[in-house]
Amino acid sequence: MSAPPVERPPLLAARGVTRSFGATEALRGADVDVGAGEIVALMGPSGSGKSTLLHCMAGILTPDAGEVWFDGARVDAMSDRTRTELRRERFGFVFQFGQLVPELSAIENVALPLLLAGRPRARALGEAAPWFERLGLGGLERRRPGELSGGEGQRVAMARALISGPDVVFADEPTGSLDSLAGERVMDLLVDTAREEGSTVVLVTHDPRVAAYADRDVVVRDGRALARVPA
Amino acid sequence: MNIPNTLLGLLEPEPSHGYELKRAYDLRFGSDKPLKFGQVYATLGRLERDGRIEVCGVEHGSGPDRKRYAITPDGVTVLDRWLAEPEAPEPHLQSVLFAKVVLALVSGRPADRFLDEQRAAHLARMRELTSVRRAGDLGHALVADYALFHLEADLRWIDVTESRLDQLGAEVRA
Amino acid sequence: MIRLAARLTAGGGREALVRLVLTGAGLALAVAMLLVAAVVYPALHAHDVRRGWIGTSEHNEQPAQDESRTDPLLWRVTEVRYDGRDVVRVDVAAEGPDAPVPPGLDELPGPGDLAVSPRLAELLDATEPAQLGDRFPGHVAATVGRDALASPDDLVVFVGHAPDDLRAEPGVAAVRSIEAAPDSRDLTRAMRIVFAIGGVGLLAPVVVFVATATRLAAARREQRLAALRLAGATTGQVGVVAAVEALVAALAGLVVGFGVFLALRSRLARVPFDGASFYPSDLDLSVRSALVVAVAVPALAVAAAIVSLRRIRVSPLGVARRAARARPTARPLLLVAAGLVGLVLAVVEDRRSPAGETAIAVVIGLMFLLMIAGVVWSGPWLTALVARGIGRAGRRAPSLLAARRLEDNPAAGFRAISGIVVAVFVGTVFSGIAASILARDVRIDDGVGAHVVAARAGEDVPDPEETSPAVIVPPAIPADDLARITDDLRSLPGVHTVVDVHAIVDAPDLVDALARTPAGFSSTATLVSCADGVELGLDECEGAALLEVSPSGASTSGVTVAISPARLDTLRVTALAVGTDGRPATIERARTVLEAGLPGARALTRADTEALMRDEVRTQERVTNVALAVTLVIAGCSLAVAVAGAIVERRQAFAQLRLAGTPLSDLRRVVMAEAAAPLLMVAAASVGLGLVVAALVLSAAGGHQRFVLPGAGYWLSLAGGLGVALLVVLATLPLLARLTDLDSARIE
Repeated sequence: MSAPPVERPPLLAARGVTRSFGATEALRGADVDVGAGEIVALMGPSGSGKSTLLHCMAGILTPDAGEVWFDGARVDAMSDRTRTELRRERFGFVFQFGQLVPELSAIENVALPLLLAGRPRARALGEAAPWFERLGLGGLERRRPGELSGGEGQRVAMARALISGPDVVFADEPTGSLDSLAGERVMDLLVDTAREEGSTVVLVTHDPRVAAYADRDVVVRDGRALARVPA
Repeated sequence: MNIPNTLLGLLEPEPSHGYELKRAYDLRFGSDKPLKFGQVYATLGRLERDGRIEVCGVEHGSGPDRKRYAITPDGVTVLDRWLAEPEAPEPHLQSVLFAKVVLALVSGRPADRFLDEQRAAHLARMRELTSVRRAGDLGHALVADYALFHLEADLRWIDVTESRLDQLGAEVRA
Repeated sequence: MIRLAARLTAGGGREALVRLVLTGAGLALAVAMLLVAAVVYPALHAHDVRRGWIGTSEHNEQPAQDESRTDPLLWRVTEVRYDGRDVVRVDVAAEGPDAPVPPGLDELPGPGDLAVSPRLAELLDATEPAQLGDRFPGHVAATVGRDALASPDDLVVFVGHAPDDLRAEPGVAAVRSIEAAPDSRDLTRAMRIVFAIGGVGLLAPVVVFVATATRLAAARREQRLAALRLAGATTGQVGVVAAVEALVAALAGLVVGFGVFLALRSRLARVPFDGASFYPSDLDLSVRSALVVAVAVPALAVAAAIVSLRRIRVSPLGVARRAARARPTARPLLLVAAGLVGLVLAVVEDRRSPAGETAIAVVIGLMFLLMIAGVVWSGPWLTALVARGIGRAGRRAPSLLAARRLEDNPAAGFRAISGIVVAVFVGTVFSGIAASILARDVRIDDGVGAHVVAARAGEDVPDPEETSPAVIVPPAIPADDLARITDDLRSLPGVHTVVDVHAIVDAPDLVDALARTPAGFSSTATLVSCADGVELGLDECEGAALLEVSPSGASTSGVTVAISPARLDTLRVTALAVGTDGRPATIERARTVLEAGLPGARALTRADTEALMRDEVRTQERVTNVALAVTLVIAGCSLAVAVAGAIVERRQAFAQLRLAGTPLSDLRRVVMAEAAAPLLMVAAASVGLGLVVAALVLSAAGGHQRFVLPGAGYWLSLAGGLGVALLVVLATLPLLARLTDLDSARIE
């Protein structure tokens, strides 16, 4: 079963993206197209540069060369302020670890993007609350991240990623530190909710079982991405 | 294991007798399951009937063991297509995949591209199975899971083999 | 956003609380020190201002009254001694109704009246008149007010006379105004410089302490801020979070610091920084100073917090990737040189044309700050140098490990010890300057016994019997007075001898003879007979010995003259030396008789001469050494915090080393080597640099101060402080054992 054919121009595209860290060349020219509503998996062995590619596409890193397009605009040419806004309003992130703020409760973590955007506290928390039931986290609103299990934490992160109704959800090894059952649950929810909300998903993983949730996969090897046209 | 195509592949480099083919097969692929002579001659007969090989020389006598066979252009086409086409993904493909990789390396064909194609096919199949698993009841889900885990194992093997192609190539050509 | 920031600050858990408390404590200390400097600095100036009138003469720099509209005032100031303290005695007589009145008095005391300072009044009540009160003819009629007194402990007396009486006495001048220019004493000026430098210098280690405390659990803090950035917080918003955290600590520190200062202020008033204590109201905190401190400290704390965020501002991935660090250069040493040059120029300029007190203090403070900044920024380079040295010289694993880590990140290695290094540098400059300014030639052996009290009739004046060429001679004691004084002295219990001191001015042959000696004595030289001299503690001799009686005491140079006792007796007596039993009561009584009998005379003993110089030196040295020790303690705390923090941060690496079989003792050696080696070597460099700086500043300040090395007190404080620092590092080692304990270690 393949994804619906992409007729419109891609929502998110990388063209010849190159990026190095000091002497290490992480990306040597990656080309990726992601259509609206697609779930795409970036696959490859460790060190292949897939995380770097994701970071470049999400506006977290600026490529040394090449272009990143999102919704008709050049992301790599944006100012830090604009990219920050992009991350807050139109993107969502589910990473392997290190993204929940330990000092805030789970519901405050979920509401964080809204609070940062200036939403009044009561309203922001009110918008965050329904996500707990929806993702099976009922009753955990007041817990600190340190008091949650791995799977629960990742689902909280997912809620935070989805709360502002993002156009694209970027997930980097979202199930990396989870066992297969918890990981399945996270992926089920991610894909179902993304489809319900109409979000596009860019997923980085080395695990084929996780990649199997996607509509198609892009193999990243040695800093290059071989973009595949869907069948 | 696809015996006919494997024999075809072993015959491609130069014409051989039936027993030479059996020896080559056993050497490379038959460590725990050597070919029976009867199977060899029966397969060769079928291949000849299908026009993939032809007799190019006869020794004294009229038994099948006296014939020398060569691959036909048709046979080469069939071999090409078989090597280039991925196998239908299912568990326990190891022997066939290995055979394909070795044959490709021996004949100078791009083995890495074959592996890539196979990987893509496996992934596509895994996608199908995942949909089935998520949509169906627990019984169907478990069956799908079983297949998924094995396909994953295959994929691991494909990755490892791909990273060792150079070394393997050197060995089989020696 | 602010509410979110407050939420984050409050929710940090125990680790964050520790960091907050330490930072707050450091800031409180900084606030207290700043406030102390802010009040003491102007209070010192107030001393100078209120003492200005003592310098009244016929030519006042800054007359307090319009000289064309006043009547003359007869005026003589003498500083006499009582019981080791100075008493300022002013003999006054008004020649008309409009004579100028000194500050602190409503009107001039009339003949037979005394105006005394409150402390002197107490003293007069408590003391036997023969020892003190009899020196001042008259009875107490008025009190000298605060406007004339530098400190509440000042002993001042105005003795009123009839104009005709006073006019006849030696040493009296007719003045038409009171001096209003501040009396700028070397010591006070020096202490003001010290406070300007100290304001910065004491502050620097506190700043380092605060910075170190803020770095606690830095990794987790960075991670939290990076997570915020990932979720879409702008750099501005992240800055708000850091600022709020810093502000909370700063406000807490502000409150505690003000509290500490207010509690200690009264004690502070009793500290005689420049030899005199303070009126408590002198140390009133001006609103302006309070506001400046209350605004500046939190502002600096917030600024520091925001600057330290520089790395996170770049990437929401925070600690994920780190670019290779730039190698430290020696270039910041240029800053040190620049600061030094600036300081020297400022001091020279101030000597030539004294600028406003605030201006010079600010400039000096800035230059010093520049030098400190240079020292701190060149620290990593020095540490890298030390690391390379260890790497080459060390043979065993711990030293190699320490050397590698220091070489890899010299900045982090230096950070821990930067507080101490700054403290040592500042303290050395402090001590070097103070010690040299205060060191004076203290001649201990004047050849005159300690039991001798001597006084002369007055200052050298042109001989009234000679008109040309003018000859300067010591005034003679009138014969009647001489007889009476001698009798009074002899009647005192405890007085052994009363010796006449003769001037040679009436014996031209003696004058010629002495003029030809290598030392070339002048006509104002005075003699005592050798027989008398022995009683006074001089060496045996023949004839007469030279005995100089000067305003700073009696001294001999060992030169003798051949002269018969009979001839000696014919020479005029210009001074008296009294041999006593050495008891304080006897000495004071002898003094009283001498001062009452010889108008304008100061009766001094050898102890007075020494004390005049020693007291100041002792107090100032003590203050300096205490300051150095305190600074080192604070810096030691910084070191402890830094070392402990580093151990916690590297807990995993250490635990795994232990797992792999590295003995705990080796790990301990690594930690010690990392801290101790750079500490000792860079501290040594700081001492050297500090001494050089002190010497240069002194030579620029000119005057008669020769550079001397600081005394034993400084070296002890230094060694003590460094020793404490090393002990502090040792104290953190058990932490290492506990954190890497294999049973409880959780390798995550």
